[in-house]
Amino acid sequence: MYKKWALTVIGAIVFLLVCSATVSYIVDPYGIYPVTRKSFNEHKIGNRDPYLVKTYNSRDYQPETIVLGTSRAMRLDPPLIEQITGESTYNLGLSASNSYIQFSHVESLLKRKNNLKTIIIGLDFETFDIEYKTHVNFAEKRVASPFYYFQDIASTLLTKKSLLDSYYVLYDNVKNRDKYTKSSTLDDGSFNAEIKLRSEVSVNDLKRIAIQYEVSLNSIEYIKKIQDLCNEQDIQLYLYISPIHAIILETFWQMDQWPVYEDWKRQLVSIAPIWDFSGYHDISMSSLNHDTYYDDLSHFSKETGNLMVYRMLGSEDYAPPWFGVQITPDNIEEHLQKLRESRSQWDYRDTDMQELIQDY
Amino acid sequence: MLFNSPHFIFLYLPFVFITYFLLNAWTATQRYSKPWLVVCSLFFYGWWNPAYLPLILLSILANYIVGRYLISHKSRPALLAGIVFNLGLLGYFKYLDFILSNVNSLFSANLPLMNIALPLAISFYTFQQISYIIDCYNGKVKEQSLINYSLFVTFFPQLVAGPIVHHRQMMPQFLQPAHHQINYENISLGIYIFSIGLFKKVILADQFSTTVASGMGVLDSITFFDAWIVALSYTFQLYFDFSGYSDMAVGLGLLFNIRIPINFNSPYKATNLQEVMSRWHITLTRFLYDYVYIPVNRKLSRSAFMTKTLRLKTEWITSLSLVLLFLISGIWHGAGWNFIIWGLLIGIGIIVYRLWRKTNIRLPKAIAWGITFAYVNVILVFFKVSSVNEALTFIKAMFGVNGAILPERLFSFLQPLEQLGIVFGPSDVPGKDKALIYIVLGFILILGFKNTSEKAATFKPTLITAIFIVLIFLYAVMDMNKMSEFLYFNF
Repeated sequence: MYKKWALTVIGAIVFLLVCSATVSYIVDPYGIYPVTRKSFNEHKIGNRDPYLVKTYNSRDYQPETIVLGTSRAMRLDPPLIEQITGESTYNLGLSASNSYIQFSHVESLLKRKNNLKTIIIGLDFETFDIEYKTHVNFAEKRVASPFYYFQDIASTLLTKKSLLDSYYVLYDNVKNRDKYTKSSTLDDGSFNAEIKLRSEVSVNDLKRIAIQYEVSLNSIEYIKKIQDLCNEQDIQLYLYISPIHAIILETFWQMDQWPVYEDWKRQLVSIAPIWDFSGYHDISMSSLNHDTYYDDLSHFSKETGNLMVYRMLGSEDYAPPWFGVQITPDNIEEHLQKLRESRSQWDYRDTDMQELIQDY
Repeated sequence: MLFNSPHFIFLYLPFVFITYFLLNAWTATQRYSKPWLVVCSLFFYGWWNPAYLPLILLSILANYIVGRYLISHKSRPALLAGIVFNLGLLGYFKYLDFILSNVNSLFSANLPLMNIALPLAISFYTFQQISYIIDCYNGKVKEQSLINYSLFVTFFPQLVAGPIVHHRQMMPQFLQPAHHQINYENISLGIYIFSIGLFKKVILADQFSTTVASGMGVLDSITFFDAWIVALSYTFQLYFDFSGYSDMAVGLGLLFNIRIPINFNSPYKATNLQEVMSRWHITLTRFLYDYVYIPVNRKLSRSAFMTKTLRLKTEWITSLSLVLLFLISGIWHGAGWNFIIWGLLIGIGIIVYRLWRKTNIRLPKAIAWGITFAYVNVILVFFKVSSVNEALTFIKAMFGVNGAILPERLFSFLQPLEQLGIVFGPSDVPGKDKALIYIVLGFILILGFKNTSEKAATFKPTLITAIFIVLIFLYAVMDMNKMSEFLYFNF
């Protein structure tokens, strides 16, 4: 009697779990299993973890060029890069990622079969702060694992959420809707510019930015390690500093963080030449109320990203000549001096702040 | 590795279980199956941090050697050396920084803190082994093989967070030939108890934990109603988390035909504090009773306190021993003043109850339960909040010192309460509606239902129980996309 009970219970549990896993595997709501990617389930669930999806997709696509960095780097458009370089491109930009996460991905991709020829990395000052934490969704074991990480198999096949997401994917695909499948990330890993994230900027937003920074030597070291790997494997490495909005630059000034910001650039330049798109210029000082150059206070737009790609990859005629300077140990001091001087233009642009923040 | 992780449930457990019984079937002597369980248990332990493995191996080996020596030589110095070794390890890894920081505060010194990470389960395996060598000294232990002893300490169901098992309960079971064969009755009961424990942890405890986490973020400004919601959520979280873990341990033991003692017996049904503590973390209380309370009580009765000049009544000696027992229980739980205060408050609470009992005034059961449960909620604040000042602030909020806020939507019904100073508006603890539903559910479950061991005692392999277990197991296991550690892993 006990034998029958135990075997019935175990059998029923296994059967139901296998059924659930089969449905989730075939529908594949997160787009990480390659069996039925472009058919009845083409549009995947919108709210999916990019740290999970991009890890597997970047392996699966085996791109020749990858873009790394934070959500800002997600504004670099893979089709444009492919058009200029002829290399297949995947945007592996991950929201709030730091240089450790970027190094882990580079190391992992290079360890397995890959076609990598070019790596483009967006560098964001905030992510180099000593207090900046590695994102909770980053799983070291997932990135290092040669196959699917078991925890991911379980969470994408054996959970109520995966079953429910499978239903939502089927619903949207069958009904030809995007209620559940509208995503801020495109299949190529870049930001979906159709999604409007613009939100009101408040003084509190600025207070969050305005902290005392201390550059982490470890973070710098990971960039050095990436460069070493690229040198070993004969991979072209492009490093760039994002064109953050002048309002954010101004908080660095106001909080006396400009020397730290400059030192950060000096440290980076000692590793490799850097494209610096930051500074006080027509793009960074443009009004946030027009969405040409910025999606929001923190993120430049894909249009700005295109100008950066043109500048870095040699199609310079398409980018304004003042946008982006390649800095090296030879010209860094001169460049920093120019940036300091360019701040004088900010005074009469300060209206941007008042326009954005009523209680400024 | 966590019991509530897919790695454990889908990979580790089936592999260890099947291989164990295959090895048993292969050789009747358990020549390979016991070492297999030891190796698997050490793997289970090392999964968190392999760096802790040498420490537990050293501890096992040292205690085994001391124990062996004590069995053949009743040597007090050897026993003391063994106890000092165990307490020394525990003291170094768990209490050194606490002592240093207090020395720094007291003497305005600047001794550098060691920042030593607490090795997992050290409090549990240290206590188990102290009891072993004491019993070796007292002639209560027969010669054991190293494998048997290692299995007693490392057996994975109870290794990380108890129940604290006694060698008298465990070691004879490892030797019984009948325990080496598959026993479907035990397997059925094991699945039954494990599933209930998994449900308690994944569905109940983890839900309460979200409210607790929100409350901990606003300790300074929390108000009356929110404070009670957070306090009740923590009271339930702690119970469902730890009793869930203990259920899982008992269930897992049964899969291997090993009966692990129960650790909880509906503590929140108790109508006095002494009863609460005799039903809560039973194996720790029993250990402290046997190895602290009784020896201390005996010592106090026979020596200093019973001289002609200073003669204490038995009742006072008992009270003193009780306070000491729970003080040590508090210190065992963690290196912090909050745990010391928590332990003292339990001891004092029990003494007050014992004095009250002498008055022969009987409170109605509901009132006695209400007072007991409220007191448990208040003192558990010290268990949760490591800063004593913050804990006091929180307790003040529980007594209404920070005012009270009710949701705006209740204004039309409860407007008169505004006269009492209650504000209607938003508060800092989100998701209170859901939290309240879970608190009500928590009360229904702890007061209206039998506990796991009572359910297990009447377990019948029927279709209804099969459907019940399949449903709760699947519901819990398919909710494991957010794994969380057990609270007692910190102790």
